[in-house]
Amino acid sequence: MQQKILIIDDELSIRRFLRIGLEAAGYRVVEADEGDAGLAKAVAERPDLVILDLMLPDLYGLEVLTRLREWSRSPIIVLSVQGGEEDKISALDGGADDYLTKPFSMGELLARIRTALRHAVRSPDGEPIFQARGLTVDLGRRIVKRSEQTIHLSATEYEMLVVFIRHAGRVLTHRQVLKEIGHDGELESGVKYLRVFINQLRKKIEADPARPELLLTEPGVGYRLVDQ
Amino acid sequence: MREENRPDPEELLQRLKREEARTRRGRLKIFLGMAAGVGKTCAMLRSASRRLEEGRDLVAGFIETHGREETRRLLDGIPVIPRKKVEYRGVTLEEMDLDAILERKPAIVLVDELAHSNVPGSRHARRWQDVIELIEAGIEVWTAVNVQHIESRAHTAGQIAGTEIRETIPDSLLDQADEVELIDLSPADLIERLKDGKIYELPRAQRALEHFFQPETLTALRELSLRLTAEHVDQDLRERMREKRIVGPWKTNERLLVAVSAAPTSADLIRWTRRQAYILGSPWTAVYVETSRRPGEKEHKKVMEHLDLARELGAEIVTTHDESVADGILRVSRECNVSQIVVGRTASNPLLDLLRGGSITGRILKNSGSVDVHVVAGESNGQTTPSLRTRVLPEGLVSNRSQYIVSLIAVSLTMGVGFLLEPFAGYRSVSIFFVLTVLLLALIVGRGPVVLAAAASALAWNFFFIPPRYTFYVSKPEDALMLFSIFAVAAVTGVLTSRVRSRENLVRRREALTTSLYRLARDLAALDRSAALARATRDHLEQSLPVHCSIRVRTEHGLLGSPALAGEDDGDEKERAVARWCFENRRPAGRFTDTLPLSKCHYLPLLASGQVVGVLQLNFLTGDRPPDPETRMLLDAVASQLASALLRVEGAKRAGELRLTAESDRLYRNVLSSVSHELRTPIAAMKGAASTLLDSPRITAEQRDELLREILLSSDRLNGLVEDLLDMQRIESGHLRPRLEWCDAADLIERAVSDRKSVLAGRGVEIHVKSPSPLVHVDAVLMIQALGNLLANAARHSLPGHPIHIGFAMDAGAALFFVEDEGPGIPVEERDRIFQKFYRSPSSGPGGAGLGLSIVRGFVEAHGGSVAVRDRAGGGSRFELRFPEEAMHAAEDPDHR
Repeated sequence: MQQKILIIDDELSIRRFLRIGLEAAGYRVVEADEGDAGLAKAVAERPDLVILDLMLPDLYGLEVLTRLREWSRSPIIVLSVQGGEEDKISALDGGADDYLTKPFSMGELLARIRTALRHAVRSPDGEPIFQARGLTVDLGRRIVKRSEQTIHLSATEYEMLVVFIRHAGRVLTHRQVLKEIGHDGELESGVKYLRVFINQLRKKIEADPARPELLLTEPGVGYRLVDQ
Repeated sequence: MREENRPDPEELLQRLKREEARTRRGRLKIFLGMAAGVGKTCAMLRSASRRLEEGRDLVAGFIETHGREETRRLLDGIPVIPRKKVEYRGVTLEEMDLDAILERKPAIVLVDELAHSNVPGSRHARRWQDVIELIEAGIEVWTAVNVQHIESRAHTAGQIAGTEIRETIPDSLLDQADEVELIDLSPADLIERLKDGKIYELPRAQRALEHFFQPETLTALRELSLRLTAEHVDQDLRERMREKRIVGPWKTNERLLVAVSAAPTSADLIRWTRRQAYILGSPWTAVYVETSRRPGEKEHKKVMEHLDLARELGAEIVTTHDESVADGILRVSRECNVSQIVVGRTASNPLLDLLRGGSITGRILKNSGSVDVHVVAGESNGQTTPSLRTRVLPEGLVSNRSQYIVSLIAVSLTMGVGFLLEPFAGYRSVSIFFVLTVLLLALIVGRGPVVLAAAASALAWNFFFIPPRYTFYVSKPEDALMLFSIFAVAAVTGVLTSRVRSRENLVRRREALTTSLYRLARDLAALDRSAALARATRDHLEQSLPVHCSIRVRTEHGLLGSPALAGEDDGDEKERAVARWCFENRRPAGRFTDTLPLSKCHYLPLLASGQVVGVLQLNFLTGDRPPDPETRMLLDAVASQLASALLRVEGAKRAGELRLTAESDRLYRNVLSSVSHELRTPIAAMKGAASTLLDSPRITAEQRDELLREILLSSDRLNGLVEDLLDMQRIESGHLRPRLEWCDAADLIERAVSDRKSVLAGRGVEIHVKSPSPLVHVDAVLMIQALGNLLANAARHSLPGHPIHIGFAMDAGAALFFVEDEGPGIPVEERDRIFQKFYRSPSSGPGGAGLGLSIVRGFVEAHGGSVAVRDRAGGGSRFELRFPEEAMHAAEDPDHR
């Protein structure tokens, strides 16, 4: 069955290439040029995924996101611009699944769409074994291996790694990670705390901790664990 | 908390200001002693060593060891700034090197012998002035002084010790001190030290013991210093209490006033008042009342000295004119809200007092109302009482000598006429001529000569005319009566006339002063550039005073720039240095001051709201006589007027700059949001389309074409934006010069429509031009683009089904292009803004950087034309481009260029 994607963007030229690119990749495309129209289309068409521009003329993109999330669990990918880090964080915290910074290539977008759709169909239990770029994590037996070598992680490190595995392929904001591992308190101190643990984790799971390939930093936003 | 315990806000502000000034300034610590040898220098050096151990940057600026071994030992290990050698009258003297210390800029500097007088030709006359400069440069100064050198105690101390003390320091310096440390030693111990030769070499010590170092003398001096320190501590405590709102005696609104005269006791009165004011913590005023009687040179100098003393001790100086000294004092005391008046006990002359209606003191006492009056006996006992001449003769008799001679000549001439007339008219009618003469004299000479003329006339008539002639004997009683009447009438009318005249003069002088200040204030208020202000002030001053002046105004960097008006003395580097000093230290400098008095000009800082905005440079053409108080008052008033005017101009300039900054900031944000969006969208579209073409193998030929078209469209859009930005830049830089040529209006419209085919696709465009179409004198390229922008704008703001109208018409001799749409129209309040750059109407759809209409306006205005928007008849909006008549004139005569 063809999956359906809703594009909410006010710029005709953006919508035009998105439609062609997505249709060529085998998706069905529905378009809206305003926030209100987008919300109406979402109700009528029940899309499997929404691509939402954060800069809309009538409604603030975040507002559309919030209203969508009130009833829909479809993955949402937001489009933003360089320098709009705060908007990205707000969007991710507000329930967006991923973001892309303009200009982006069609390849990037398709990859993000695939990741988002996969998560949406995956059962809540998830896979018992996670594998990516030489890292294997057996979630049932709590065994972590890197190139067939067992690595020992502390309880916190393991907990954090599991959080990332649960959202593999997707960006997690600092706030989201902190919430998942049960850290409460100031965000600022939390971010520093996080940086320390991420570095420890990278030393253990990355081939070259200085140039991470698994656990990537999304500057100003958060982290992302690569899932393939 | 009780109401009266609350500190006065005004006062708190003052305190804050003082604190602020203090943080910028260096601290001042004074080691106070009762006499030489108590160990001030040693105490200072010991504290200094401790500070050095703590690692503070401390140097000795000037330390006098007096050959004392103990002192020299203590000085070991303290870095010393070498003294400056100064040549004076063939002798080499050593002085503190002020510039070297300022250059070195230590945290703390030690300066001994605060009361020292510098060698003539140094920057300051006195060392305490050097110290003030050091403090103001932010350097902490430790210094030492004996109590007898403190201005307000000098006289008493001098009396105790039986010597005259010349080197004094102003009390205000003591007030400025952050810390006063009393170095106390019992007289017995001090004498012990002296006997041991610890202070002076033994033979000298013996002499000192016989004179100064008597136990009684020392005890009295000790008491003096203890009391001085106690007062200072008291003052400190009171300030602290006020600051901390401790319940205590808040400063009442007291203000003291002291009357200043030439009498030597006046200086004592001033010191007494200063002490009293200090204890009360209240401000004080010294007033000098000028009467129409011109003071002699010596007297004038004395008064100036006393006023300077009062100024130095911190008084506000007021000089005023009044025929009666008492009335003058009372008037000023009312004007200044004075609560206590201090006057001296005047030597009274019962006869004169009767004539004047009581002595000065008596009249003040009688009319002072609720004001307290202190009558203080002076301590000086008349070594220099005013000369007999001034004291005995009533006011007004001291006058110009030539006037007396004129009077006598006039009387002699009258006598001659009398001899000629007497045979015909009889001796009695001659007397009328004498009276007439005295009356005429009263119109031209002062009071004294008139009285002299009256007396001389009476005597002459008596001696030469009343029989028996050539004797002073008067035989008939009616003649005696006549004689007395003549004298009385002549004297009284003469004196009255001359008094009226002098009062008139006074009023005229005062009026002239007021008028000229008023005129200056009015002139300055109308000017808005500092150079113009300076010029107006210079003209004003040079008209009213015998001076040459030039004015230097501060620049943005706070430094003194070149003079706003070059004066004749400008080339002189030395004079410039004085001006700079005056500017940096905010105090008058140069001639007639204690700072660099050998310079050619007098310098006044232009102070307003605590800032120094420039320097007024004055070259007095009057010789060595310092300016009188009236002139000083005028100068002060002018300086402060000019300073506030300059500050106002500066403020206005700064406000303008701020507005500009805020405006450009707002613009920048607008530009950032609209331009970045406009730049990014086509780039995103191009990248997206290109990557789709590359990455998707399964796209159809149709989809591929669509993507390629998208890339093309986006690059057009990007190009359009870049063109717009460049056009805007061209308009704003002022480099836009239309290349005018005669164009057919219909052609221009035709071209504009065809250029915008893509935007107008699918719409009706109605062109309204009457044929034959007229010629217009414009730049074709700019016009086509302007019209095109209007068309694009109309297309953007109206629905596709509605037609767009474009046309040309003549309107009252002007050429008029118009573009109309049938959209929703533009709200009135938005009509001005839509032509601003980067402004985008909230109702306009996505896209657009907000440049189109501002470019239209720029292009049209470059032609000398104007743009306007109004409602279109029948709905929608109508944009009009109007070109003035000249653009059309040659339509009938195309060769006219």
